[in-house]
Amino acid sequence: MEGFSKNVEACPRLLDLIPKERELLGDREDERSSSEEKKLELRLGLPGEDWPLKNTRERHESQLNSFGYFTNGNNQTQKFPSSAENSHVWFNQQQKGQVAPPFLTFPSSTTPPTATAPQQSLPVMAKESSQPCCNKAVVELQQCAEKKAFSPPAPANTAVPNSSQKRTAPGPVVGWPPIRSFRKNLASSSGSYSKPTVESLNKPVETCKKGLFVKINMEGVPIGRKVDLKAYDSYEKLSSAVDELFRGLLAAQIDSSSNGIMNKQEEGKAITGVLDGSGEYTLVYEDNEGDRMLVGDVPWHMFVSTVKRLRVLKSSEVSALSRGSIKQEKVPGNYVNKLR
Amino acid sequence: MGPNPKMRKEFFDSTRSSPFPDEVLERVLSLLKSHKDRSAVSLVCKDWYNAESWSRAHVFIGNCYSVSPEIVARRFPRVKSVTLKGKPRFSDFNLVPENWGADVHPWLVVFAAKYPFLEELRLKRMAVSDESLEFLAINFPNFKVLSLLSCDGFSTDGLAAIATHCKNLTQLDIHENGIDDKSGSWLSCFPENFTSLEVLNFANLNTDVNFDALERLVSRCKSLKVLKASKSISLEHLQRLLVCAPQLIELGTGSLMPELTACQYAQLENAFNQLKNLSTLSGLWEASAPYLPVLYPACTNLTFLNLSYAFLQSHELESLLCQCPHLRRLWVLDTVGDKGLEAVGSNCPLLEELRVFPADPFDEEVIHGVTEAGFLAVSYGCRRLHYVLYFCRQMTNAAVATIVQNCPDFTHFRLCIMNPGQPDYVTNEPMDEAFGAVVRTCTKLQRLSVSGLLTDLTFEYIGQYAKNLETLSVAFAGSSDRGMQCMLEGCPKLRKLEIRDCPFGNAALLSGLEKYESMRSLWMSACNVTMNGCRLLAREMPRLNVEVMKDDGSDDSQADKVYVYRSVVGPRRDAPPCVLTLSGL
Repeated sequence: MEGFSKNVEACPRLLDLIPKERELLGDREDERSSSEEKKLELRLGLPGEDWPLKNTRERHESQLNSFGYFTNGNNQTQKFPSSAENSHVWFNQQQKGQVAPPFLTFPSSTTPPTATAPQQSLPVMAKESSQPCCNKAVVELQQCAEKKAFSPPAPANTAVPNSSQKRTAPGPVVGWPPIRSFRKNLASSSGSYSKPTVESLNKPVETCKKGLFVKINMEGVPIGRKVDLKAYDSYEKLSSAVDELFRGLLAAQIDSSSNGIMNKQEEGKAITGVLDGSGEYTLVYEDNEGDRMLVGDVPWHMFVSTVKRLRVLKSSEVSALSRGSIKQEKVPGNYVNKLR
Repeated sequence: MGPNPKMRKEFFDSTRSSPFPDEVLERVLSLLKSHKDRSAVSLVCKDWYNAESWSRAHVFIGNCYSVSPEIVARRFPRVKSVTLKGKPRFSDFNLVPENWGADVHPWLVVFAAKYPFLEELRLKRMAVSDESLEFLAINFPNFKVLSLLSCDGFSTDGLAAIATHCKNLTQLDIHENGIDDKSGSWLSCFPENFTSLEVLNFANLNTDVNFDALERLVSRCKSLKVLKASKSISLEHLQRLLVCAPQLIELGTGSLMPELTACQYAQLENAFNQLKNLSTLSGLWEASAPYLPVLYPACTNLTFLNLSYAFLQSHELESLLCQCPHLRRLWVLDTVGDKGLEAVGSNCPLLEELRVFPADPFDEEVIHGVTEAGFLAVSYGCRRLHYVLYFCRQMTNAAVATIVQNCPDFTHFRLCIMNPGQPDYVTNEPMDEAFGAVVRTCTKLQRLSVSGLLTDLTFEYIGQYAKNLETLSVAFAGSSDRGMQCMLEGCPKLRKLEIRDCPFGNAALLSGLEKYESMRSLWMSACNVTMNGCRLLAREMPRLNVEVMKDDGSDDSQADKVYVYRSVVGPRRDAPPCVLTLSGL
């Protein structure tokens, strides 16, 4: 390291160093933003070297210009309308009576709206979920013709299903809002949180490992049942399950109440019309807020995520209930139509 | 020579510049914990560099590709604990392909040779396989702490290997990973004579574990302080566990689905009553109103309440908050609504951190959730608030300005207006002034996430005022290259910049040439950057790794996803085919 002669010269400097070092350590304790610390921050370059900002940038800019690196059309000098203005326009139109757009990453949950309205057409591309290497095209939200010029995505990949068009808003955006997978699944089904498995494992994606069992009681029948809602994917299937579960029990109940006159040939009347009020019984449920609701108003997946227990009541009693709580106002009419 | 020959002789013989013996220096330096301090210390002189290297027991590597395990091992010979982070943060939101990289295995192989006595490994966004977990379990006899956050590539089989072989394990923290949850049998792999566990977190697993095995494990691990159970644990189970472990400091309940008899309810209440030391409560899956009161006795000393998996209504939240006078951190779902947040403002004067997650982020029919009113209410009541993550569907500039006036100490301000490019819903103006107020008022701001309709003005403000900003997330914002230039020219402490869907092009990218080496990384996706721009960047800055991922069907010249980071080991060799490494060399 240092030789003999150097040490002689170094003596006074050594003593000078000590208070400085203490100072530095002291600074560390006190303020994090001291300039000393700033100087000592780890840099990849030589310490003390100040990259001359101005000079290099000029050099680069001239390089850029000479190589014409703005060939993609996004020339700095080119004035294109700010995305602000356009989004402005877009949002205003949106406000004319349409709902906020969705941001789906998994096409399975709800149908993504199209974005093919005239003049506001966006080069929207639906993106697949859990993608393999090299995804499909990216969705663009800022809509303006100029934007297309500087960043033209291949239109051939537009794959937006032509579903119920509720709004002219942009289509699904991958990774937005920025929420981890665990939270995404919370609303869609209250019983499952597992993330889709890695494709290379070649395992089928299992979104549910546990059933969703809720109690179901029928008026006039002392014994309740439990039904696994995960086993059904529609109200019709649930309705026929109700029939299966209670037909026998109801018949037995009627028999016993009619003083034991057993009519062995009658297996019991089918329990029908529980969804539309046409039958003798109607299906209702209690949701996670404790409210009693008619079954069938909301989309199936929403029902599954909020239902806590089911009841089969006499239709005559149900008509006494108001036609729905505040919740129903949140659901637009066309959903109700879809299910009937 | 003059007087004092002895002293001078020692000086003259000394080949060191430091007046302290190495041992003293190492002892002093070993008291430094912060890796930033240690980095600074190591630059003082060669001796200090060496002393610091020898005394460093914990190494933090923020980007696994910035350095190689060999270099780490060469510099720090006596490391006991490693924290390693891999993929860019946007991989959490499906913007990065599964096979991108960040494989932990090469690190483990080097560690097995150089750090056989490694005790702690904390991984974030790394690719971890079952083989790696087994390798870890077998090759490190002193292994104590495993923490996996946002990792993927492994299954519960890997956990079984850890449980089976790690005889000295004290912490097993499996948190929000892409795990292949095959079965809960891993829990039964802990040997019957294994008693050292202090932290067990399996909250995000779904498959049923053998409850008896769990109960026995909890009973015999007398030092267990943290237990975060999964949904599969019922209330009845929970009661039995709490009876075994009244010393818990952090508890994650299982499911709160109502299914208890009155007698069982009383027992559970009693069990919670025994938890005198509880400071953190989480889980509460399927929490329902009738069962929340059972928690109350344990809430007195709570400082952190994580309700982000519980669909609570405002009145339920309020009742719970009344029980927690010392609350400092609160995570909730937006089902509590503005009214619930008013309750937060009224009941939590000591609150420092609030996170409000959306229950239904993708449901277009949703009208509930929280608005600016809720955030305002919190700011009036919780003046010590310094960390916020807020998902909402509407916001105004005026509200944000008032909020930061009430709470000027924000260090982390993450506001997500869920509709991209949405303006102030009252004035229809951009949200520029909101974030302008944030950066002007909150001088200690370290982390910022912006959203809503934003022009370049926002970034002018950020560049001008956010002098302590280290992490910045930008999406669907800005009007021109100038926006990004302002960020790069203005924020001296900027370390991580992530941008998506903004109109920033090559000029913007290249304006940061001198900046990127002082940053950990830059991410730009769905912007306006071209391959040529990236190539130029790579050529000018050889110590940066410039990686591009292209989307299917996009223009050949477009650089759809760009990831730029400094590295002392050059371009990585394990990049999959979809990652183009542009190297200046």
